Amino acid sequence: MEQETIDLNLGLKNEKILEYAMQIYGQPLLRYCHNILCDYTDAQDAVQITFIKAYRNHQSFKEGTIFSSWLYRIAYTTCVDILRKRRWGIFQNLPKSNQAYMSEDLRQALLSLSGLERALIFSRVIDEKSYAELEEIYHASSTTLRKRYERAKNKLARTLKETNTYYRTLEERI
Amino acid sequence: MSYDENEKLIKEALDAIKTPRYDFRDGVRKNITHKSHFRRDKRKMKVILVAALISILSVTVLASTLPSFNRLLSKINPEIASRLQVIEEKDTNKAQVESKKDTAMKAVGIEIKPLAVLNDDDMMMIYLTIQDVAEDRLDETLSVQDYFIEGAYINNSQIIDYNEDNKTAIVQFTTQGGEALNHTTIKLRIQSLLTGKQTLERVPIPISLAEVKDMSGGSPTWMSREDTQGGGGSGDMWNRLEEQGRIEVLKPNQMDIHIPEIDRMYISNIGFIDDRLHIQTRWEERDDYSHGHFYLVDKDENKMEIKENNFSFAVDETSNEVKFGDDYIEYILEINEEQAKDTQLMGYFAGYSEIIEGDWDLEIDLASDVEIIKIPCAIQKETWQIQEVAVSPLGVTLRGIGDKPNVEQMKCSIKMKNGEIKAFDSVHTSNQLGEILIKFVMNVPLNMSEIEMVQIDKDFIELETN
Repeated sequence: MEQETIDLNLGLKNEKILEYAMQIYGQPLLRYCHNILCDYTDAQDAVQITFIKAYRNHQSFKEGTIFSSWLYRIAYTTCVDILRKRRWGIFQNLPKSNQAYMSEDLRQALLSLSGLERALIFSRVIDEKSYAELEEIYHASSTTLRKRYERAKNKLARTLKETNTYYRTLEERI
Repeated sequence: MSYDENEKLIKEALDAIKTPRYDFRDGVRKNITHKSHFRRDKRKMKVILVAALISILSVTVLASTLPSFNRLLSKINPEIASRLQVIEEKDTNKAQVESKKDTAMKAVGIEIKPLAVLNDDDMMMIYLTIQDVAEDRLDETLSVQDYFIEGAYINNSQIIDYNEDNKTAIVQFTTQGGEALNHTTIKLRIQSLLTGKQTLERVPIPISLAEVKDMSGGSPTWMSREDTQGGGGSGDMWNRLEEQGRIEVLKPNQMDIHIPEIDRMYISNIGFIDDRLHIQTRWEERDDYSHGHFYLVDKDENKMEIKENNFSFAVDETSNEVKFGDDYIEYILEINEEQAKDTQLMGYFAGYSEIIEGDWDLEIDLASDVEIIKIPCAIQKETWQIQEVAVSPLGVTLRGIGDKPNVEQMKCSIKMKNGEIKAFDSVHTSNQLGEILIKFVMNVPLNMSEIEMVQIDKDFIELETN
């Protein structure tokens, strides 16, 4: 982990460093984008675009910045762009369901949240990122992010409990 | 990290999502290489095109704007060409990429160039080309959103042509202050473009108005005049807010009623207050460009004519008081509980898929004026007298004195020598030092030599042109 930080702190100055970054962050970013977009194919595109943008705009990486936060920021804005295109402004155009990757109940529950809310949930619950890191990624104060996260978390938990007997049983177990 | 019960539930659910490994690295490598080749090819093409033009035309004529200029001419009579002042390109007018990191990445590849200008005594039309040389983000719904000219007031902008083949739009700006700007260099700045417009005009709202409750006096929430932002419309509610200084709005965020096909906006409360239907909506991550309104249809699904007001506000998270902002919009329809029982609430929504922000600065030299025919007259109308009718390729200007008339009731058209009647696309009015000025404007310039007469209501003014 120590070595990874030292190497990537130089930014994506050459293709060798890009290869290394793709190896380290490729799969985690794919999971992250899959959760936000709720579509595995779109997530593949999002990760590819993220690394292309990161490489082409490597000069925007400032020394002292956490490399992963910078990369996740690019991935997040890429997902937002894809969601915008999918939505045609305020209109929903839901991704196709593919239950091989995600159950329909879970997909519906996630889609009841906004893109930012899905991103926040994943960053906290799965990636276990601190609010300081979240500030870097989502460009908002930790107070605001905490409120958004708490609201999203409660909403998602409520929806999961309401829509699926599996989760009702799970809740009883917990 | 210690998890609470909800987080444990969510973690178990998210861990169940299968995200198989996927090797995207080849795609990244190829794309980086492919893109740089693409850019080099584009540059080479540009050099060849400009060189070819120089060999057959004088340098001052049109240069690289020729295809778009011809496209513009195809929209108007070719004889008007001599009256259009072609603008020579001063700069490439590419978006400045240093200022806004995230947005500039989107703006890169959008080139905006001046094409032509036409100005008379009090109005000017500027034609620009907007081209996407990198991607395919523009379309025929393109709208230039944020723009301004130093020293002039822009009335409007609108797309008049989109060429799918070269991904180039021609956009027209109509400005006031033409005379003052003659023989000067003007600076036009554009900061955002919208594309991919979509509208949903008849969306049934999943609410039975027969079950909506009367909330009069039950709401502790009042909105003052200072709290409003972008409040629209006119009518009783607006006047009431002006007179009383405040009006009652519904208690914020008491419901979560989602509208089919609509994202990021939901109905956060609904009820009757003082015999009016209030529909409160909450907008999340509002982009300023998406908008909508509500209306009612009767049993036969005919749209009913009902006055509407709307007010924007935000809510203080601590005190729950209404404050200045635009997180909420409360729509107020002038219909009482009894009248609303047999109606259906419907929604109209519009949004854009792409918002491109950047800084495009253009400098345009205004060298010459255009032909204007001025005809003195004394046409007495109800509230004013028209003393002069001026006709230029931009349209017809009426000058007179008296009280400002209702322009919506005025009819003005041009009769061409071939018998064609041309109606105007827009009308602009001003009242300066007691002089009334009404300008009827065409989207494309008029061919002056082909105009036979101007008709204003039932009066005809004949033109004698060379």
